[in-house]
Amino acid sequence: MKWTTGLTGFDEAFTPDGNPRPHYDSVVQALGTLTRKQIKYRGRLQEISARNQGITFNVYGSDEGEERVFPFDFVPRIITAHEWDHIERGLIQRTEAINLFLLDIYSDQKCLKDGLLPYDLVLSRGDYRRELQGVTPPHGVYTHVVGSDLIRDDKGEFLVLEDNCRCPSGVSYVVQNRIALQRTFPELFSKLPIRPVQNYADLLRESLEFIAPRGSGHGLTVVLTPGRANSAYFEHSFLAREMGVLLVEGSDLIVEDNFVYVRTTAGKKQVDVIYRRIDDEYIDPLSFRKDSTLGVPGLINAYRAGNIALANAPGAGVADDKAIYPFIPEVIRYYLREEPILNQVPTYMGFRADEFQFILENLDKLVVKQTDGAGGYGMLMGPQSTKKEQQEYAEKMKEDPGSYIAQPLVEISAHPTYLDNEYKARRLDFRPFVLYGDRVKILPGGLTRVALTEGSYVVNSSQGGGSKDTWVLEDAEAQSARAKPKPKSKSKAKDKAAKGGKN
Amino acid sequence: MLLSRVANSLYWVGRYLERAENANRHVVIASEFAIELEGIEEEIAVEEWRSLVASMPSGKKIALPKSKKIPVGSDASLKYMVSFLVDKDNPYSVISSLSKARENARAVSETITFEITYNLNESHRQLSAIKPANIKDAGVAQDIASKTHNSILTTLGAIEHTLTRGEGWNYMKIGEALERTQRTLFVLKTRLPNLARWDEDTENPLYYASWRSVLRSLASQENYRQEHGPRFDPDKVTRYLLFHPAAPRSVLCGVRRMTGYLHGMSDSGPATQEARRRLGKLAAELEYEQDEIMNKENLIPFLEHAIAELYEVHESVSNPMRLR
Repeated sequence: MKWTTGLTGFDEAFTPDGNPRPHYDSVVQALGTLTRKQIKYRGRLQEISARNQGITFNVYGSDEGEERVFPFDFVPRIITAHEWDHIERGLIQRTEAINLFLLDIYSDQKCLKDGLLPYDLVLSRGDYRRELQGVTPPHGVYTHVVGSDLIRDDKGEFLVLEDNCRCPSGVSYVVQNRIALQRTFPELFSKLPIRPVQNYADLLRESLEFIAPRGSGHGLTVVLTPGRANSAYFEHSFLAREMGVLLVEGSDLIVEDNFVYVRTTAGKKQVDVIYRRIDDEYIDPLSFRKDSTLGVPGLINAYRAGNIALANAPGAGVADDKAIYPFIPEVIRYYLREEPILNQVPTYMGFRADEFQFILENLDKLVVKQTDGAGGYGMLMGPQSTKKEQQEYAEKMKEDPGSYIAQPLVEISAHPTYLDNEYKARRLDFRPFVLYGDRVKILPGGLTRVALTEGSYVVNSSQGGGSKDTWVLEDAEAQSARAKPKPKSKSKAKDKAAKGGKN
Repeated sequence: MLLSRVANSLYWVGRYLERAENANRHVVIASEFAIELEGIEEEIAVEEWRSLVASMPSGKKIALPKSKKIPVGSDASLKYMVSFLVDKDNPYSVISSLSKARENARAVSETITFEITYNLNESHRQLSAIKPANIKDAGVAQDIASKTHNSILTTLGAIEHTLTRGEGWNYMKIGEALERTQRTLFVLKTRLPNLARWDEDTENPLYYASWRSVLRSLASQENYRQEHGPRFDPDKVTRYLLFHPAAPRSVLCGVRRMTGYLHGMSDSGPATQEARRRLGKLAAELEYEQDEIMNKENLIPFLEHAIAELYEVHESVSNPMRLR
C-alpha cells in the first residue's frame, strides 16, 4: 500500500529520503502486511465498539444529531524515550513556573511590581478573578491538571503552542485510543516497549486527594460536570468511573454554612474535593455569572473559607490566556532562574502598538488569534486567507487590538494517517496531560490530534480533526532495570511459617 | 453512597428496559395472534392490536396507522408492528423506551458497568438503524422483533450478572418490578371484559387463542401450564396472574418484590414510608381477599384501585431528590 510522506515540514515517521525512522520501522512493516479489506473490517469494529461504549462527543450547534464519534486513526504516533525526557522536563518546569506565577498574581503581585508583565494586561484578563485576590488554594497549587498543546516545527523541535490550565479535556481518548488499538491492531504492539497510560485515573485521584482540606487522602472527592449536553460529558463520566468517585451536577451539590454537601438517598454528605469540569464563569452564580444554572450557589465562599478544594483552582485560567503566553519564558526565568527547556512559538501582541502595526502589515503571513478564543474558532490563518478576509479581520482587530495575538505560521509536523485506502501525511499536534498534586507528574502519552483534511493546520475535534494513539517508548535503562530479576525476599510470615511458628 | 439524581435515573433505566421488553414481546405475540386469526375473523385480529394500544397507560396518545379507517388484514398488522417497534413518535414503541433507558443510563454511566452500557448501546444502535420504510412485510418485522428481544434480554442479563447489589440496584429493580406489575394490571383490565364473551364457548378457536395470547403477552403461558395444565380456565388464569406468589409477572409477586427493594433503601423518609404502607396494604388484599376480588363486580374496580396505588408508589420512589 502507498505511503505518502510529508511534502512540507517534518515527517514524524519517515526520513527525508523516504525510509521509516528507526522507531517506526516495526509499525510500518506490520501495517504493510495488512490488506485494505482487513483494515476496513477492523476500522468498522473499532467504530461500533466506540459507539457502544458511548465514546462520543457532542458538537454544539451541529445538525447531525447530538453524538459523534471522534475519528480515530490507527497509525500510532511514536515518541522516543529521549524525546519524551525533553518534553517531560520541559513541562514540569513550565507547570511549576505557572503555579508560582499564579500564586504571586493572587497574592503579592511581585512580578507586576518588578515589571515582568504590565499590570493592566494581567488584571484586565477575563480569567483574572479579582474576587479571589488573597485566597491561596491548598498547598499553593492552582493547576492540578494541565493539558499543554505542543507542536513540532519543520526541524522536528517540540514547541509549546498553548497551556490549558482550566478544564483541559481529551485524556479519556488517550486511554480509550490505547484500548481500541490493542483490540483492533494487536500485532503493532509486539516489537516496542510502550509505556502504559491506563493508570491515569490512579494518578489523578492521588493528586486530587492530596489537596483535601481535611487532610490528604481524607474525605469525599467528586467530579462536577455541566451535564450530558456538554461536549466532554463522556470524559467526565469516564473519569468518575475510573477513579471510583461520584459524578455530580451542580444541582446535586448544596452549600450550607460554607461547607459543600452532596445530596444522596441517605441524606447530605460533606464533599472535600471537587474536580470541576465547569469553567470559572459558570461555577457559582453568586460570585460569577448570575444566570448560570450549572454551578453551585455559594461554592466560592466555601472555597474562600478553606472548606472545599477545587481542581483546578478558580482563577487559574489567567495563566493560559493567549496574551500571557508570550511572557511564559520570562516567567520561567523569573521564578525558577532557569532557561526554558521547551521553546514556544514567537508571538506578536496586539496590545503593543508597534507589534499591532506589524501584525496588520503582515496578515497574509501570520496566524492571528483572539486572546480568549479556543477550539480553533475566531482565528485567521493568514497564508490561507483571501485579501477580503484579511481586510475584514483587520477591521475587527482595530476595535480592540489588545484582544489579539499573532504568530508566524509554523509548518507543523505531519504523520502517516490512513485515509481513502492510503497512508497520507497529515498535520498533527500533541496534548500531554500534566498532573500536580504533591509534585508534578506527567502521563507518558497524550492526545495526538490530527487534521484529516489535506493541507489543513486545524486539528480540533469540532472542526474535523481526528485522533491517534500516542506511544511513548521506555528507555533502555528502564527496560533493563525491569528485566533484571528481583532478589527473592521471604516475607516475615513465610519465615515464621518455615520455622514452624504460628501466624 | 448514591446520589438522589442517580437513584432517579436508575429507577427509570429499570422501568424503560422493562417497558421495552414488554412492548417487544407484545408485538411478537399480537402479530402471531393476528396472523393466526386473519383467515377466521379479521376484525378480531385487528382488535388484538387495538387492545394492545388500549392497554398502554396513555393509549390515546399513540398515533394510529395513518389511514383514517384502520385497515384490516396483514397490512394493519404490519403498520402496528412498525409503530410499536421503530416509531419514535409512539411513546410506547420499543425504540422510544430503549432510547429513554439509554438516555437515563448515559446520565449515570459512571455508576453502571461497562457490560450494561455496551449492550444497551448495541440494542439501541441496531434498532435505531432500521428505517420504518425498510420493513416491507410482517416476516421482516418479526425477525427484527426477535433480534431486538434477544438484545434486550442480553442487557438485562448484563445487569443481573454485573451490577452490585447495592442501593442503585434496588432503585433499578423497583422500577422494573413496578413497570412489570403495572403491565399485568393494565393487560388484565383491558382484556378481561373482551374475553368474557368466550366464557361459555370453550370450543370456539378464538377462546383458546385469546387466553393464550394474554398469557403469552405476560410471558406466563408455560408457567401457568406447569401449575394448572394445558386448559385455560378464565378463573385460574386470572388468579394465577393476580395472586400467585412465585409467578414472576403476578401482581402479588411484583408487590412483594417492590416491598423487598424498598427495605434495601437507606432512604427512610416519609415518602418511602408511605410507599411501604401502600404496598403492604395491597399485598394484604392480594393475599387475604382473593375471593372478594374475584367477584365479577369487584374485579375491574380492584384492578383500577391497584393501578392507582402503584401510581402513588411511583410518585414516592421516583423522585428521592424531592424528599431532601
